[in-house]
Amino acid sequence: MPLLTRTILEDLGIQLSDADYESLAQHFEQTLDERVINEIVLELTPEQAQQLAAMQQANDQDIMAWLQSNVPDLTDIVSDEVDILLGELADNSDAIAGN
Amino acid sequence: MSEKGPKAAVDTLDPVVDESAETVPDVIQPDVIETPEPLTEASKTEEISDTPDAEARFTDAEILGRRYPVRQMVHEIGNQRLKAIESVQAKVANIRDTPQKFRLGISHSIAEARFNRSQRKADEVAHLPNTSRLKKRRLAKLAKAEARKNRAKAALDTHVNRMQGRTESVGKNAERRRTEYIKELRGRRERALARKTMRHELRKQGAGRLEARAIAKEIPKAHMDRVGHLAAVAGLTEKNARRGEKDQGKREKAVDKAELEVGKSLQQAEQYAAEARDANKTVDEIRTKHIPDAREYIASKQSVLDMLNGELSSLESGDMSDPDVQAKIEQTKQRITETQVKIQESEHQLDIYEKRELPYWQSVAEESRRQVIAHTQRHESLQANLRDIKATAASGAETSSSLRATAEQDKAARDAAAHTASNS
Repeated sequence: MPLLTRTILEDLGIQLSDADYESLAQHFEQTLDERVINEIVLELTPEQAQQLAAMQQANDQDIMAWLQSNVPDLTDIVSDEVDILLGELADNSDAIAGN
Repeated sequence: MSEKGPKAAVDTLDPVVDESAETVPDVIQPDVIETPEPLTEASKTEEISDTPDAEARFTDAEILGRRYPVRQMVHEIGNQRLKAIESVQAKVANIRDTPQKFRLGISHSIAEARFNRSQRKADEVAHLPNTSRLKKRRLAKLAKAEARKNRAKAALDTHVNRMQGRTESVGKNAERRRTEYIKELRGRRERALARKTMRHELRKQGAGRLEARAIAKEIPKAHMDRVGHLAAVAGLTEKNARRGEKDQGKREKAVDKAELEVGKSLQQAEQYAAEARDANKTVDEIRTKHIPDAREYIASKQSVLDMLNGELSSLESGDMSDPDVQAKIEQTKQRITETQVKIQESEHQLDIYEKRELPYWQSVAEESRRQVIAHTQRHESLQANLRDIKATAASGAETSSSLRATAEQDKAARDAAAHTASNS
């Protein structure tokens, strides 16, 4: 299920075609991923960063477990970045709806 | 949707603090117009179970293994769904009121007809004196009919307004909920920015994670709100500054391009001027050298031909049986033929000079001159354009510097607030 649901957009007065919605939802999640990763990296020590870099072959669950044990603020970081991004979306809702 | 699409709009997401978002929408007076009430939490919950994706919206709340507030922000029931429900409620109420509207409409029509009839009768006795009993009676009836008509009209208008108000209030309620939602998201964003800024500040000061968390909890809410607001403003001005710098980069590129165009147009004008000069020179050479030379050559060959014809006549009038004379005659005839060929060739060449070469080079010179004029004009126009672009770039540079300065100030204000909060 996408993070940016149609309900959120509709509540903001944004009506989009399926293709535009897909594109926006994908862009939203990419932007969120980038911001979350940037914040996580700031939290890591050089040793932790190396450990994370060495986990390229690890599966998602292992990476998630590592992040949860090494980044105690992970939930706050993700939550704050979501709030920030949704706030920006709300600020620009008129422009997006106008497109 | 434009070719940029919503993604492009998100690319330009700006943390704008819009005061207008807090404006409370108009509220219709309940004693005048009966409006559908926004649904209560209880009624919302009832609706949720009826919606097809309710389960997904309320159970799929796990992201990265933990529940976090994004799902909480998804309203229990979408604004559009509420709008649809309220719209149905308004329509049902309006359907219920339609017979009454019909009755009031008929009453109004009857009252209006009575009034018109009374008016007509009053007009018929208008010429009578005011003391006339008939006139008094008809005027009294007219006043009564008018009062009845006004009452019927007021009742009908009230009823129609109530019905219209129901429909209008559906849209107004939806817009009010949208405004509230936007305000809520803005508030959440500012609080998130405050937490993020404080996290960064405390990390910068070397606080451990647990320490940072404990310190952040101790900071008063009002100060956190202030940090959040300053962070939002700093985010906005930073974005504006970056956009200004990007625009300035574009303007500088435009100046480079315009300068290149100006240089190119000048170069082309010079090239055509050189071509025009060369063509004029060729025309002069044809006129003053090649044509006179050819004519002179033809004239000289013509005199040779005349001389040879004279020699031939003289030889033919002599002893034709003499083998020497016969040989000389043959030689002379051959020379005459050769000379005639040379004259013909020269005349042909002269013809080429006069009818082909000269007009051709004249046209080349003319075309090159036209190109010189066109490129000179273009050069002047491009120079004027370049001046404009340079002026815009200079003004843009000032704007960009100003935006950058504002962004730095706002950033400093945010950092100072965060620093104060962490040290207070």
